[in-house]
Formats: sequence, structure tokens, C-alpha cells
Amino acid sequence: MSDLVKTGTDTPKVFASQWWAQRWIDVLESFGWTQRLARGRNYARNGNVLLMDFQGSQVIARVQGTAPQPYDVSLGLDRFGDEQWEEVIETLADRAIFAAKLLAGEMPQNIEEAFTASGLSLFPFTKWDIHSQCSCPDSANPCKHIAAVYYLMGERFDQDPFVLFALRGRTRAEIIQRLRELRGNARTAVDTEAPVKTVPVPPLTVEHFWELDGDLDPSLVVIAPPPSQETVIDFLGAPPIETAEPTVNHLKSVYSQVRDRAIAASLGGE
Amino acid sequence: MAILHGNWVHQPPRAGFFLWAETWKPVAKRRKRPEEPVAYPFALSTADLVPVVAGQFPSLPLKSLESATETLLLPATKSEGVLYSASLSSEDEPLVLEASLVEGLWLDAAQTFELLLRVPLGGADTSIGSDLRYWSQCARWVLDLLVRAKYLPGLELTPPTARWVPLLDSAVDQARLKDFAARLPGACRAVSPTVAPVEMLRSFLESALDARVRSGHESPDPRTLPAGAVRTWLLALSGDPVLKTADPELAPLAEALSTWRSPLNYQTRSRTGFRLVPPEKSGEWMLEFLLQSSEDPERLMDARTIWMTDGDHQETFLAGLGLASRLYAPIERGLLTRQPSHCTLNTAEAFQFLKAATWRLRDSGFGVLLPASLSEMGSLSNRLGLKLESGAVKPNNALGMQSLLNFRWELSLAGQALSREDFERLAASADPLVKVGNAWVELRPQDVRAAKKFFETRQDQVGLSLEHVLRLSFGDAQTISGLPIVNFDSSGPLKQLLENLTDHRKLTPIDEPPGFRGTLRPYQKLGVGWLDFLQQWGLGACLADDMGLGKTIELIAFLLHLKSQDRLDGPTLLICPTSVMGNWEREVKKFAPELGVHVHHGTRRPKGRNFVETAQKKQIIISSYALVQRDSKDLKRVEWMGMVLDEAQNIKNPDAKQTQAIRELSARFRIALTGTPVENRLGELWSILDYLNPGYLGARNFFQRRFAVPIEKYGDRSSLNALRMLVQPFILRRLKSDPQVIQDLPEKRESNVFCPLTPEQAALYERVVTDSLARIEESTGIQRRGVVLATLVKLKQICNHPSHFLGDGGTLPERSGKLRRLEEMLEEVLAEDERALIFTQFAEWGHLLQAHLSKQLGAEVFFLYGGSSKNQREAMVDRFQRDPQGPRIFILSLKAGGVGLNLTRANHVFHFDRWWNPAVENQATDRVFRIGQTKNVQVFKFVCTGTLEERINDLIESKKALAEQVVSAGENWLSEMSTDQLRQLLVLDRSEIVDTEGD
Repeated sequence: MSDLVKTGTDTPKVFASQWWAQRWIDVLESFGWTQRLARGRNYARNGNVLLMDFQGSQVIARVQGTAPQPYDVSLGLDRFGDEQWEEVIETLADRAIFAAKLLAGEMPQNIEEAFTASGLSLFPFTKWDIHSQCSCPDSANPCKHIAAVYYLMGERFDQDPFVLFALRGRTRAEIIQRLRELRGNARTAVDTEAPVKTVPVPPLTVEHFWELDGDLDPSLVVIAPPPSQETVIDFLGAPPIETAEPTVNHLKSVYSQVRDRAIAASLGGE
Repeated sequence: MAILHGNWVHQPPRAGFFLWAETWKPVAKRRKRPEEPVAYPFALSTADLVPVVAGQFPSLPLKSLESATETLLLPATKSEGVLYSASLSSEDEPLVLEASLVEGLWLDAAQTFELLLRVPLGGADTSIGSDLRYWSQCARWVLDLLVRAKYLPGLELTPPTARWVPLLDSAVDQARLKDFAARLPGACRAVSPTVAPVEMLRSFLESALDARVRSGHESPDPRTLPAGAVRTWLLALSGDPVLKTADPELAPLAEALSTWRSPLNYQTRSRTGFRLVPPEKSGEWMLEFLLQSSEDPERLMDARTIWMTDGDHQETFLAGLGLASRLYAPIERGLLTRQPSHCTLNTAEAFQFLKAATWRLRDSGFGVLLPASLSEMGSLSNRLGLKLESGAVKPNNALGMQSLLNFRWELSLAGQALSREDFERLAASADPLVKVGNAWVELRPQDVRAAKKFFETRQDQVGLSLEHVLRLSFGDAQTISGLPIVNFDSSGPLKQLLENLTDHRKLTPIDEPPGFRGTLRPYQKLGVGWLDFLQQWGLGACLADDMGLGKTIELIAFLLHLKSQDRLDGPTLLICPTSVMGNWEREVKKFAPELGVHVHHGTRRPKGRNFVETAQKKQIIISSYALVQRDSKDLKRVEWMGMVLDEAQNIKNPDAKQTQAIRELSARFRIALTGTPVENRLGELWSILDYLNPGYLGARNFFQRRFAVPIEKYGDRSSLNALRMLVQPFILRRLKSDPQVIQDLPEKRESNVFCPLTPEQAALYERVVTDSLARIEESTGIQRRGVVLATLVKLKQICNHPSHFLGDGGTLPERSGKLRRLEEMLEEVLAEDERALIFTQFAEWGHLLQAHLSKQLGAEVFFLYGGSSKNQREAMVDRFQRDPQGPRIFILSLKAGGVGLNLTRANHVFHFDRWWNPAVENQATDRVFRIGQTKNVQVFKFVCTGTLEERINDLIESKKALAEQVVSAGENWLSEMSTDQLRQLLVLDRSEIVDTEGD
């Protein structure tokens, strides 16, 4: 038993690598019930959550407990009304940073401010803000099954922070579209992908058939290592997966080996 | 020789590299079957290809390569069918593309990369096709992507595959993609003509990069990796790319990875950009946000306009700002309004933006616009540095490279002169960025420190060595006490010196000096003027005119010119290979009999005080490379006016004792003569230039690092240009093909080449003469005639080579003066990329020579003689005339090859031994000098000094009548001579023997 507790405190970030997902877990863990949560986390890690489905502002899940029949869990937050949302989005529109970060796939650090300004909270504040039910005989709430689902939701937020908005009643697209309207552009969003122009393949001709024009770019002759050791992995941060840290460490080791060997090869020292 | 080609084949799911080669001569017979692709007749079979590839890339593992046959579209004409690639240019008929079957080898992506890394990037190696060269350049780009970490791990689900994917989001890679696609040679598309160049290129980049990342790291220990789908994926990124499991967790993993990557998927027609705007005087800097067209970086849209246009632009703009704020946090400060347009930065932040963020943003696909004065932070013109102005200097041969010249100096920043007060004021503000005039520039702390020190220690003048000045004005960056020299003005004689050095045509030519027995061609007069000019400034000169343009005459005229001006106040030491010592002596005596010449060689040469006295009485002392080392003590005792190295490539190895002995001798001027294209042989170039002007090109290992490796290994044009700028003042190289030279030259020039006998040859020669004369005296009539003629043959054989006479099958090198000279001259012919015929009357010598030369020069050498079949003759002539990579040296026996053949591709003719019949020799020469010859022809007749060869040669040249007799009677007239006459003709003049021991 003490083992489990220990595991729990040592690896608090297992289900959350991004701040918003961590924030979600923090809310849960602020309620106490350490042992029950640890068991829920084990459930989540061991795959006891058989199914998890986001249906609008509700999450429906099936969790395998000790009984042969899995339990049905549902979990939801209070939906904000249209007027409340309108107020929030207007606040968001006042600062371009919100739109910019949302468009860049990131949850803005101070997003909560936009909600508090309207007397709302994006994240649940007390356990009463989370409406959860479980078909298990345990009368305590959260039971370990609900806790397991809660942890997995944290992981899901990591991958897609906008699920949190959905639980409050708006999709990312709806928010972005409304922000766009507020900027004075009523036109609905079009696919950001430019229409694929079919460029005809230039026919092969005999002209200059055997000729190579131009010199090699001097910066490819002497290949200079970049001024910084940072890679695209540092730019992207940890991937939204459970085992982000060891994965990133492994990838970084690959990048540095590949880099060193490529430098050696570029100097002719294969 | 074959030409290697390579095609990247992109026919999904098949991808790989098809390596093939062609040779100038059709290998397979053409089959004329319309509609069907025919085999490309010039392609090598796989069996023939493997050794060619192995020879070209010895370290490439070839064992596992599969053979393959592909259909290629290749240029052809209607009448001839598909054509050899190197023969295309001269065709008159319109070209079409025709499908042909080609055999070759199939390489996977990893093997391809290994191969391409071994392909030389630069150089003129004609055995590498342009297509193969192109792919090797692409491989270089892949290496660059790997070094810059511009790739990401990816996961595809159908079928489950893990791949490393190149990231081409930065502006530089986007531009490169366009440039490479545009440069893709047609030949690269021969296998898949319907694939667009850019697709072909992408396919190559993706495959090659993926293969290289896999092979570029150690396979991880699975136990160290996280469990589950992630482990399966990570292992597949290192080993087999196909994931064997159908793990249901793969789909969520793929989705998570795509979320993770999504910030990079921001690739549209425009990108977010940033413009750094400096303050008017001081205060805050502004970072303006804008949109930049990906197609045309000049097209910009400012924030005001963006906020008035439609949503697409706004969202691209906002998304870019959101991403860029991850890379450079101060951007966030500008996003707190509804319609952001900029953020402000303090000076420290602006500096940090320039130093760190600019590179990172650009590398991640954002545009960054900087004020011109800050856009090249490291560039000299914007740095704090010195402005120099020269004082008066006079030419003086005691000057030399290390002499100090005085300059007035001024401190300058961004092109503006700074007074001491200005400087103190700037230095007092601790800002890294300062405004000078209208421009903002970086003020480096180390420059400020250096400048402070400079003010403290200097007066208004600064001394700069001539070497410094030269390097400075030829574009080599220089500093004085840590301060860069940003501007340099010269006036008066120094200005003229620099002008003359950079443009040889501005020199004053020097006419034949008084006492010169001959005429100088215009380019030779210029050469003399050039030598004279450099001598006046105490600078070493390398005269590197093509073989046969008369370097010897130019040097003799130069020395005579010095004498006529009373500037020759000491002897000049001329060091040359033993094989040309006799030639030099003869030329000096012929053209400048006023110059006292002494040949210092042989066992009876003067030593010690004797030598010093001899040297002081003469103007020219000729000695050999080998003797310099042996006699260095004596040579050092003489105060030399000048020192000349002929065939200066002999000091190409700076570690050789011989070279070191030469470098230890001092002289008031140094000249190097060489006929090899010294500029293309960097080791040799350094060694010669460092002898002439010590230290000018830097230490040897610096030179290697800075020039030799980038140029020789990577064909780096900018390093090559920088080097050319530096050395060009000291090397005068005119080619026979130069328009100014060609008009001065006759179409055919004949010259005698005097070669010494080696001691071995001399001993054999004397023995045969003694024996034969005794036997001639004893015999009469027809028998006597026979002995005389047999003697002539023997002596000619000895003059050719001891082995030729002895038939001992012994080694050839170093035993014959003629052979030595021939090797030296052939090396120059080959270095000039020209071709030569060598005539001999002895078939057995032809065989020996052929074997020896092909080994010595590492190239195929032809030999045509009476025993060659008709087919062989035709094949040899055909290849010599037509194969672009065919042999360039052709030995012919005078009898079998002297008539009928057309060998106009050669423009050098060597008569190695002589028939003493100008008509026969001319007829042989006419194989080359005839219709179809486009170059000037040079004919060299070899003569062994001190032997019957020289005496007969003298007879022919001096006595016309006798010459005619000779012509009419062949060699029979010799047999009619009295024994005494014969003795005079045959006996060896011992003084002409050169002791070549250790040479």
C-alpha cells in the first residue's frame, strides 16, 4: 500500500505534460483522498478504462473494476450559456494573444483570466463543479473508477487542450470562428490549406540533358554547425504522450548522435 | 575510362538508385527493331561495371549490390540512334529522346548515400556524370539538414511505418528546394520522365535522410525505452521501419504525434515576419509584425493592412505570432491588444534578438528583416576598426615582404571616422548597439578594449609590413592589435605597386637588353618586365608559362637586363634538374654570351674557397637540386644576388631535405620557374610561394585547413577565389592558347632537347667506343661497314637507355638522361591536358617505354609498331582521335607510324632517338602537323650531350651541304669515314657527364 502512495507522489506528471493538463490533475488532487486517487491512477495506467467517449460536454466511460461487469462512468462540467460564452469570447478578442496561441495549438497561459473576468472558471474549482456518476457499489465520490477516468482525461487534454472548451460547451472551431467575426470578418473560415494547384510536370527534353548548371551553395560546401544545440524537439516540447520524458530523452540522444556523425561526414571523416 | 551515371528512381513503392556507366566505344551491337527499346550500346555490362565502381570508390562495400536493367530515355539522332553522352556537342542533326535498355546496379537509400558521400563535389573528374554529381550535391544538403536537426520522427498508419521526415520550413531550405529542382539535369529524369523534378528531389531527400538518420545512431537497448506502442515506434525508427504489431494504441499515438507536430504545419503562401526598427536617437526599439510572401520575400504586408483584409491573412498572421512567441517571448508583450502591430524592445533585448532570436526564427520558417547596418553583424564594414592611409614609399629591392611601411591611421565605425572624443563618448555608454551617423551598429566590447589600447600605445602613424599590405589589398582580412582594418587607401608608388600586381597588363614590357642575341616575342618582353618589377620591390616571382613559351629566354634576358642597368652585383644561383643543366648552359651561351656561366657539378667541381672564387667571377652558377643539399656549406658562403629554381615543382615536398637545404640559402631575389599549372596543385603552390615569399600564405597546416581542404575536397569556389586573389600577383602564367600569346607564336616550333648521359650510360658508351674502334681498325670492306653500322646502333641504344642496350630487363627509372627529361616534359603535357606522340626507331625500346610510362604516369599508353595488326592500329588511332578519355600518349615506331596516320589530336611530338634524316622526321611530325590540327605544334628532338648524337646534330645544323649529303645517303656516309674521323665523332666528351647520384 505504501508503495503505491510512493509511486503516486514521485510521478505526478505521468498523465500531464502540458500546464493545462497538469492544472486539471491538480484540481483533482487538491480534493484529498490520496489513496483512492492512487488506486484510480493505477487503474488508468493498467488499462482498466475500456472506453472513453466525449459526447459534447459529457464524458462517457466504461471502467473494469473488481466485478466481472465493467462499470459505467459519466463525468461532466457545467456548460456555460451562450451569453456567458459571448462575454468570454469578447474578452478573448480584446487581446490577440488568445487567438494567436489558440491558432498555434496552445492553451494561452492566462486563459483563465478571460473567464474570471465574467465571473466564470474554465477549470473546475471545487469538487462540486465536477458532475460524476459511477455504477459501482462504492458510495464515495470520486470512486477509484471516476478517478481513473479523470486521470485519462488529463492525458487527453494534453493531446487536445480544446476538449476542455468542449466540456464547457464550445468547440475550438466555434471559438475561433466567433473571434474572427468579432474582428469584423463575418465570412466563415475556409480551409486554411491553399487550393492544390496542379502544376503540369515539365516534359523531359534533350536540351542541357547532360548538363549541371551552377555551383554548389558555399554553405553546403563548408557545413557549419548551428549556433545553438537546441533542436526542433526543444521547440516542440514534450509530445503529449504518457511517456513523454523518456521518449524525448531518447530522441535527443538520436539527434545529437546523428548531428555529430553528419558533421564528421561533412568534413570527410566518415 | 568510363563515365559513371546515377538515377534516383521514384516509382512508388519502388525507390532506389540505379548506378550505371557508359564507355566511349559501343559495347553491344545496335539492334534495329523499331517500337522496342534497344540496348544502349555504350553502357557497360554489370560485370564490367563492378570493377569500375570499385576502382572509383575503393572503400565502398559492393558485395550486396543487385544488378538491374532499366529503361532510360536518352538523347539520340534519327540516323545514329542513341549517342554517347560526351559526344553530343558536335552533332548537327536534331536530337530526340529514345528509350534504351541499360544494365546497372541497384542501390537502396543507405547504399546510395554511402556512394554519394564518396563522389568528389568539385573538380573536373570527367568520369563522374553530371547526374551523379547532382545527387552528390543533394546528399550534401541532406547532411546539412542533419547537422541543423531539420527533421522529425513520424508515424504512418497504413501500413504502420516509422520514418524520419525532413523539415523544409525555413526560408533557406525553401529557396534551396526551388534552386535544386530548377538545376536538376535532364539526365536525372531518364528513368522516370513523368515525375516532376521537385517530386523526384523530395523523394530522394526523404529516403536519403531517413536512411542516414537510421545509420547515424546506435540502435537503442529496448529495455531503456518506454513500454508499449511508443517502444515499438521508437525501435522502428532505428531498425526496420515497418511496425509488425497491430497495436490498437498506435492510432492514438499517431494522433498525439500529429498534435505535437501541428505547430510546424503552418506552411502557407505567406509567413509571419518581423522587422526590427531602431529608435530615432535613443530609447525603445520596435519589432514590427508583418506578413511576408513565401514566393517573393520582397512582398510584405504590414499589420495595419492585415487588420483591414480578410480572415485568412489574419489567421496566418496570428498563428505565426503565437508560434513565434514560443521562440522569442517578448513578442507576447505585443499581443495584449486587439489588433497587435508590434512590440517594443529595450536595447539589450534588441541586441539579444539580433544575436540569438534572428537565427532561431529564420530557421523555423519566419521572416526577419533587419536594418542594413545590422543585418550582417560580423561584417567588417560595420565594425569598429582602423582606416589606413599610406605615406610615401619608394621601390627598393632591399624592401621585401617583411619591411614596415608607415600609415596614417584613424578610428572608424560603420564607415565614419571617429575622433578620440567621439570614441570615448561611445565607449562610455555601455550599450552594445550604438548609432553612428544614420546607422545603428554593434559595438563589440573586445573592439572597444582593443581601440582603447591602441590610443594609448600609438602615435599618429602605424607600421605595416608589405606582406600585411598586400594581403589586405587582395581581400584577406587583417587586424592590427586585434582591431580590424576596415578601410585602406594607398597612394603614389604603393598604389602603383598594387595596381601592377593585380593587373599584369599594366606593366612596362622590356625590350631585348644590349648584348642579347635573339629576339623576344611581345609576351616575353612583358614577362621580363614583370620579373624586373617584382625584383625592384624585393618580391619573389613564379614564372609559370606553358612549356615551350620560353621561360629560359625570359630569365636570361632579365639577368642581362639587370647587368645592363648595373644592378647585377653578384652571382645568381640557378638550380635545375640534372637533365636540363646542359640545356641551360647552351641557352645562356647562345642568347647572352656576355653572361659568365659556370656549371657546378661532377666530381671535379670546385669546393670551399675555390668555389666561392669561381662563383664571384661569374654571373650565373648552374647546379642541380641534389647538389644543393650536398654542397650547402659552400653554397651558403657565397653572397647570392639571386636564386632561380627551374622546374620548381621539385620543392613541392617541404619536408624533403633537398627543399630545406634550398630554403636555407639566402639571396636578394628569388624566382621560381615551372611549366606545371601550379595554381591547381595546392601543396606545390604553397611550397613554392612559401619559398618565394616566406610566410605569405601562412603556415602549412593553416593553409591546408583554410584553402586546400575546402578547395580540393569540396570544390569550394569562394576559397578558391580568395586564394587566387592572394597568389595571382606572384604568378605569371601564360598559356599557349591565350589570344595575346597565340598570335606571337609560329604554328610549328622545333627545338633540340639536350640531355646528359648518366654515369652508367657513359661507362657503357666508352666501352663500346673503345671496343668498336679497335675492331674497325682490324677490319675492312663490307665487314668494316657492318661493324660501323652495328656500333652506331649500339651507341644509340645506350643513349636511349642502358637497359635498351643490355637487354637485361632491369629497372628503367634513373638510368637514362633522356628518359628523365621525357618524363618531366610529359608530365607538363598531361598537366596541360594535351596529347603527345613519341617516335623511336627501335620497336624493343617502344615496348620498354610503353610499359614504363604507363606505370609511371598511371595511365594507358599506346604503342604502334610493325607487329601491330591492322585492327589494332585502327582501334588505337580511332581511340586516340575520338575517345574523350582515351590515352594521351602515343608511342610509334618511326617505320610503322611515320606515314599515313592522322593523329592531329596531339600537339607535341618527341623524337626520342634520331634517324639523322630531317625528311623522315618531318614526315613523322606531319602525323600531327597537318589539316585538322587546331593548336600550335611543338617538336622536341632529343640529343645526348657529348655523344655522337650531339656531334651529328651540330653537323646537320651548321653545315647545310653535309646535311644534304646525310639526307641523301642515310647513315651510310658514316661508314665511309676514316677511323680517325670516326674516333672524333664517337668519342665521349667526359665533361658532359652528369653525376646524378642521389638526384
